[in-house]
Amino acid sequence: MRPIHWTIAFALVAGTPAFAQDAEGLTVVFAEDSNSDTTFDPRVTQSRHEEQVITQMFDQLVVADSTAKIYPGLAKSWEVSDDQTSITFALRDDVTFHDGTPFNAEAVKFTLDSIKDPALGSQGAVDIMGPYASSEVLDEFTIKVTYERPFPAGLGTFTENELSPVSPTAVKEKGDNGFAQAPVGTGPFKFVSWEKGREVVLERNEDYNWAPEFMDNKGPSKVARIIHRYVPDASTRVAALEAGEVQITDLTPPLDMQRLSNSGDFKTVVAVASGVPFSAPLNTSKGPFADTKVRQAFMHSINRPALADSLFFGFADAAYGPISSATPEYFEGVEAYYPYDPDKAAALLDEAGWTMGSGGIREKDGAPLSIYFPALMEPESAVALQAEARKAGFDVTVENVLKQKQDELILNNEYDMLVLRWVLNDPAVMVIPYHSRNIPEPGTFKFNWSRYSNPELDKLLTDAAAATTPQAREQLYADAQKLIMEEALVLPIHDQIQSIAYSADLDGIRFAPGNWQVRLYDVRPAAD
Amino acid sequence: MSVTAAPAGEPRRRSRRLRTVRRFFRHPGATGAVVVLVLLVVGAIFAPLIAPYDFVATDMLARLKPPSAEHLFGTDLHGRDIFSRMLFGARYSLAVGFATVALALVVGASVGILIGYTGGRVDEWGSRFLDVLLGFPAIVMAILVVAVLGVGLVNVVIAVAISHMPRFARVVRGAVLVTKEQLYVESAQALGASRLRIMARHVFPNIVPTLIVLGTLDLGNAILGTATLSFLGLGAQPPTPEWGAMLNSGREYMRYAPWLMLFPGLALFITVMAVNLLGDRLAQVLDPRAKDRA
Repeated sequence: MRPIHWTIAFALVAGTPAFAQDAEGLTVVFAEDSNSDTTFDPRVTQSRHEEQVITQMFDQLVVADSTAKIYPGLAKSWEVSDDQTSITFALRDDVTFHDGTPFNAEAVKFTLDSIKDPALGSQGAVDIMGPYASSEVLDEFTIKVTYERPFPAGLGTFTENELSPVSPTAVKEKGDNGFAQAPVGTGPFKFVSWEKGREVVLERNEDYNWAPEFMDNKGPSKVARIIHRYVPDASTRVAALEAGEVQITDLTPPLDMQRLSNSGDFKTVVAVASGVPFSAPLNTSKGPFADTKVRQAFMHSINRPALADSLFFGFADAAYGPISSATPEYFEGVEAYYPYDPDKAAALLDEAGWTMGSGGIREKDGAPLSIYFPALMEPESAVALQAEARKAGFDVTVENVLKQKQDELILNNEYDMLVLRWVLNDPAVMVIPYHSRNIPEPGTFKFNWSRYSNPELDKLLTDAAAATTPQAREQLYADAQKLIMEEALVLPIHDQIQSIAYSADLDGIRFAPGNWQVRLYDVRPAAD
Repeated sequence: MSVTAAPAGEPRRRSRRLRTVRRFFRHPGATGAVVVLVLLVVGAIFAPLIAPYDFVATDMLARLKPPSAEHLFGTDLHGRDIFSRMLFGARYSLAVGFATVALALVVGASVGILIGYTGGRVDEWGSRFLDVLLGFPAIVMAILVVAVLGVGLVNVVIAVAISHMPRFARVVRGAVLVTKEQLYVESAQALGASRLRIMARHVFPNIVPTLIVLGTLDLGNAILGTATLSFLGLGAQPPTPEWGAMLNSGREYMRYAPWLMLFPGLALFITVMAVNLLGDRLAQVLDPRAKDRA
């Protein structure tokens, strides 16, 4: 035992690696901004942070690159039925899961059926899957997925991490909870270990030979080990990058991005995430924001372009609508709504009966125009909003809350505004914060934090998802975006920016579709 | 003791006090500390008159400006004048520190007198309970309390006071144990004075010097403790310019705008040092056994 250890130690010392490359190959450490991961089961997750790890370990039937262009993945080809109610996939026959289980139509059926089973407790996949009805195994490598009604978005949903096939053997052996702690997929990296709140270690899948064609690399990754290390504090992430302890940082602060990229030792890449931009849903169910005019006045009182520029130093633009400009079906017309206009804001508030009081805070029937704003994220944005709104006569009380407190306030409807963001590469994301069935109730946590209920909007969103022509779909989603803005349900604040900085010794960093997660399969030492 | 003796005793007592005060200021550090604290308190009280800018007014064009004649301590991310914010911040940081110590002192002294004077089982169980509380590091205890009560400056005062209370209670209990064996307490008992009256009129006045020294020595810790909680985001909420909260919001820009953290940090450092110097000196001059030293 002992002599062998010495040999390995000697090999490591004698190797004198240029950077993180030792006898075992290239190790890449990715510094992640969260430390709240609880599951790595793609069928269960709804967390962008968990997905960052999941995307390395799992493949999808259909793969999208960062521009959302679709390529064959675990499915070689597919056929969507004319009525858009079913998709037939022809699967690859040369793929195995990390535990040796062969990948086939049964595995896909197992995955999809298990998502539908409430016992699993799926949070993301079950919504993404839409009106999924059943799967039929036509032969070992052919499967037909059927929907309850036309689902034109169906094919696109198979590019999401959430619908990645899982190893049926592993799930049956470990149970759902066990699987979430030690997942088994077909991806380029295998799960090794996970120390909660500290780090997750993955190692290269040596058998991997089924990468999508847009990847430069073929066969096993050039990266031997990936460590996702949790470093919630942004300046600590940057310090670790500069010290060489990590090779990649996510959510890198703007000023650091500039400096790191100027130094020549690091490269940077920025992308606008698709989905819901960083926004403030306004509670329409009670308080001052129950009045549409007050909501509209609030929106007119915030100088969003200046705010985004001041907080992000030019790295993020203002957001204008319920979905980000990077999302398909983004309706540019939203940009005309609610320009910064203090006079208009004042006029609207006057009309609504809120008159300017002595301390610069507006009043109605002796009550001040108070807004309670529990802020979970971006405390500096909250400070800026508070100061801007004050100029118009809003007294915004900001409280920096933890998640638990926020969730409690949401369940009990005890807030006037909150902050929300979501990464999803599909305008259907609007269902989550705007469909009336998603208004939170005591005991059920949901995301319609505007608490807005309008059958017309519900119908637009439902019809858009089922629209059979691209034109109809675009029109319906545009109408939904218009309605949401007219009603001033949400103050879109700024684009969600994923800012990645990484060692100049590396090449091949790629965004996953949606522009949040980074795929590490293609990473390799930079060519000199 | 009695009021009628006052006219005769007055000059002597005044001269004794004067001597104590003189002795206090013989120490240059203590003198400096008093000057610093007076300046801070004056600055805090007259902040609206001294501050050159509105401490909440943002000016996006003037963000992250280094210290200059225009902005003495520079500006923050939102273009707010840091000097003005720190002047107002002194109000919060000092007031919260004092309030915390006062609360801890009142509760701690009451508990200490109660269990010390009552003795017996009350003392046994009470002391064990205090030991348990002392077993938690003060900051952990405080965070626990804030977790229960919710964030905010008032809750921070309560949290830090609770975490500091056991130490006061322990010391006071010790002092009471000594005091209650004194002849005058026994006399009062013999005269039929009630327990409450003895505790309030005879025991309490005799531990006042101890309390003053303890309180001053603890004030530094209390200011740091409350600033720590605000730094962690559990205390002052925006736009309150509490020093700990200012330190926290400057963290991300430390490399590019060091003045964001430098000035609040320095202010905390100087304040806590001044308070500690004051406390040490008070302990020296108020301790009867150290009468003729220094």
